[in-house]
Amino acid sequence: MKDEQRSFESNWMRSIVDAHAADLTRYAASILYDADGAKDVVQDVFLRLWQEPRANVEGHVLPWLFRVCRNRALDVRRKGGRMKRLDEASAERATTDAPGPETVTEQQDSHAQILQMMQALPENQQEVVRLKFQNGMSYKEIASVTELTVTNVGFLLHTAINTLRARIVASGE
Amino acid sequence: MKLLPEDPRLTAYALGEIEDQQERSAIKSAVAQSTELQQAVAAIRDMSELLTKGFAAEPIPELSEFEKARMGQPTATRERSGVSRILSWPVLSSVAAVLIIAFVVLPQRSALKEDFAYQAEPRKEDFADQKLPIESLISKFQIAEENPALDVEIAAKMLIESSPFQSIARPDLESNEFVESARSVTTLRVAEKQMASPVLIRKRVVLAKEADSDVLLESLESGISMDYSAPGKPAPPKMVKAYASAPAPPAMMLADNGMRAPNQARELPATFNTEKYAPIEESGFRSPLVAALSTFSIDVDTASYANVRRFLNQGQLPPADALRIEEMINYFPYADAAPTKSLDEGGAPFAVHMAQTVAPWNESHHLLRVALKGYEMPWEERPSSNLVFLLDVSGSMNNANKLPLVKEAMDLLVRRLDGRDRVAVVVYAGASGLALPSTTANNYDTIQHAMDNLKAGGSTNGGAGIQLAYKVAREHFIDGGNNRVILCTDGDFNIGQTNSGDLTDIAEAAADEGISLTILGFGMGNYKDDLLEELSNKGKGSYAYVDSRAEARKVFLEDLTGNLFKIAKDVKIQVEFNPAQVNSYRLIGYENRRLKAEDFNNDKKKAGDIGPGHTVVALYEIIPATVDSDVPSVDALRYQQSVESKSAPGEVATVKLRYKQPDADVSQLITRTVSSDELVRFDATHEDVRFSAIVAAFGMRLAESEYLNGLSYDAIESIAASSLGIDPGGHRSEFVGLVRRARELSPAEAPLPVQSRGTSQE
Repeated sequence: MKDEQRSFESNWMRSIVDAHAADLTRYAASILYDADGAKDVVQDVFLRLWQEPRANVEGHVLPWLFRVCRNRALDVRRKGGRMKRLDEASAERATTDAPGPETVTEQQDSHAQILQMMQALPENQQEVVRLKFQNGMSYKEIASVTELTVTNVGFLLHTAINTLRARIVASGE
Repeated sequence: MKLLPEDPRLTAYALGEIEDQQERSAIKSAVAQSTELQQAVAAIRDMSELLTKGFAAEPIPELSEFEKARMGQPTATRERSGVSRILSWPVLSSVAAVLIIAFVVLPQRSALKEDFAYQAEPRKEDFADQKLPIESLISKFQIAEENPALDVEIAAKMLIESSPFQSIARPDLESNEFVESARSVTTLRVAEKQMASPVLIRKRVVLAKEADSDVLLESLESGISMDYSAPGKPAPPKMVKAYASAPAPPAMMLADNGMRAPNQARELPATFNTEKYAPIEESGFRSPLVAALSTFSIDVDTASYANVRRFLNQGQLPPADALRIEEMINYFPYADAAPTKSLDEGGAPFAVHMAQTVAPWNESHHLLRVALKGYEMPWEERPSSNLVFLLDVSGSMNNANKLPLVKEAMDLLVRRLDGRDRVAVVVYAGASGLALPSTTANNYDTIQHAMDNLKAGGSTNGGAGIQLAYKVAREHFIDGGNNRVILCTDGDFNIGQTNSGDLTDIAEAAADEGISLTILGFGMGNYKDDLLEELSNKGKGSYAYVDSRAEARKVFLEDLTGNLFKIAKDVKIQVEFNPAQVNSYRLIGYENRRLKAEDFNNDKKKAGDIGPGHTVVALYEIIPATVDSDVPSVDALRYQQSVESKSAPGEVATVKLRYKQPDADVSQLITRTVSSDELVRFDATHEDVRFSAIVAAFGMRLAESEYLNGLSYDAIESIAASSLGIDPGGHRSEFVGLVRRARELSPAEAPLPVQSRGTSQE
């Protein structure tokens, strides 16, 4: 075993965990509505990264991580998520999403409102909107995470933005 | 360059996502010339900023140092629940063998594909625009193959989940057959890596890819073309063809993609089609003093909801008689717990759940929800099947959304069966015939070949077809198995035994022999809903309406065991209401499933079956005794004090259920009481209770029910949107979109410019 390389890998790994673990956990939680489950998913993602030859992921680690994370989270949701009692899951969501009463300024209210509106979008649109505006990914990166074409990502984002705009206009009237 | 505000490229431009310099400057100059475009760009950027800030306000999960350290470890350091289960290797079944057979018969495109596959090798910066979805699939395969150390199952799943179809049309449909085939292919590749000639292996795998991807690809196309049928983009030819026969102009789109077709509901002539629906008379309130017992048969059908969805997506409000509210409610999966003990161990076939809340449309009324949840039978525990497909191949089926969809649906099913199961195909048109003699399901290529050769043409003689199908089913009858005729039709029985009475007699007689009838309705415009519903009731089977590939997947993958097998039969519900607590009650939906009170204990009287995993929900609207109502009542009876009658303070109702085991003749009884202190506020009750109530409200709104008390579509939409829960399959989100759609189509609520509507305004 090449110890030197091992330690090098370890440092590289740790830097990636530091940089992306929280974002990945939040992303997985947006699919699972389950913070603990999301952490398990992210741990699996990093396990996969260990097994992946560096050359395969170098240069596009971020979309790679999100793609693996997405697939794993969907997998978990499909197999186990259903078993989770709905009220439990929504309680968790409520406690993480809702800001405390003292912090609810008008500003944050509009943030909460936009997130709520977003949750009424079809899931595929929500997903690209989140990757774009929460994770700052490019169309190409989103396409690679979701396995859609770039054109399709563009279309979904466009539709989502138009819908949200129309609803904001409607709610302002 | 001419650019419309609806063009997705404008959004890409506003977000700085146009990479091609020429294109970017072309858009830039187009924008410079148009204030409309400038405003659109500004609005998109505003929205982008708003979303970025909104997301930034979402709390980021905090990870402890320990958790981070654990994540950075090359091996798992603790027992993990849930996830680790997924990592285990399931034993590969005979599916692999079936697939290998399938590859061999594939056509000669392999050489070309081989090059293609090599080109699609993922490279460092290879995230370029992937024009063809298939490319991305193949490159996924490459990733999976190049890393044999990876868990094979993950690789296979990765491939499957990466399909755009999955992403577009709900990412969590259970596509087990893809999972299994992809898994077996990947395993094949990994296992053979060390031996044999690489070229040969590559070829095999490429063939395998092709086999799997063809089906995927078609789904992808449909998913994408649906999304692209938005205004401003011409629908691809495939879509136009698919809806060529639709009564409405082909301006339809997915209800929930946020775009709307112009209001056209009321402009269509009333006589545009020949769809037939049996009239539905809504149940009214009854006083328990007049009728203490409410008795009905369960109904697991879902056809009405899919049909309503089709109407709304076409831009029409559904006719009131097409609205069977119980079928709308039962379309959705609910989280009510299923019995955990398997049937073999003597577990109950279903669990009963009861809940009471306040009616969302009337604060002084209550709702009683009775939910039955069938045991979720694992696929391996299923009984052997003897399936006879009875396919309508008449001229009217020659539409992209009919026969080709039927074939695809059958293909989905057959891929999940194995050597224990038998499949036969009977077709009917001008003459009926046996297209595929009963064949064990592991002969996949034979079955496939027979299906490929089915063509639509001629007119329909459903009667002769049904008789032949039952004959085949009888000849291959499996004792204790699942013997079933699956009728796929648009319901256009126009020659021969068209008398619906004769047909239903045949179906009923066969059901007595143990051959059930499942009906899948396809297509539109000529659809005989009333006949099909009655046939499936008499044939002791389920009835589903398939209007899209997504629905075919729901019926054949998500709900497959439920639709094909039964775990209890003749399930009846009888509710006795306590006049001390209940002023009056009414059953929502189930209008054509009502039974006489005395039929409840009569085991000769047939009722509906329940399949594995089925959820059956019934809702009663109750006016409590404390509320005055004008429901006609009578004085308390003087001579009816029976020995059993006793004062039961706080008891609202007693719910009794009767069912028989699939092979039994004697029914079993389950009794539950409902107490008034179990009432939960509507906003505090479980999402499933709220959601089922709001689906009922939507059905009532569409049917213009007087009982709805004027609850608006907006209110329905907001309650539904707050009751989505986890929403496996995305069906609930889709429902929210349908409510919006219905509101836009309703003249009373849609704000329409008066001058363009003329006399249709009231």
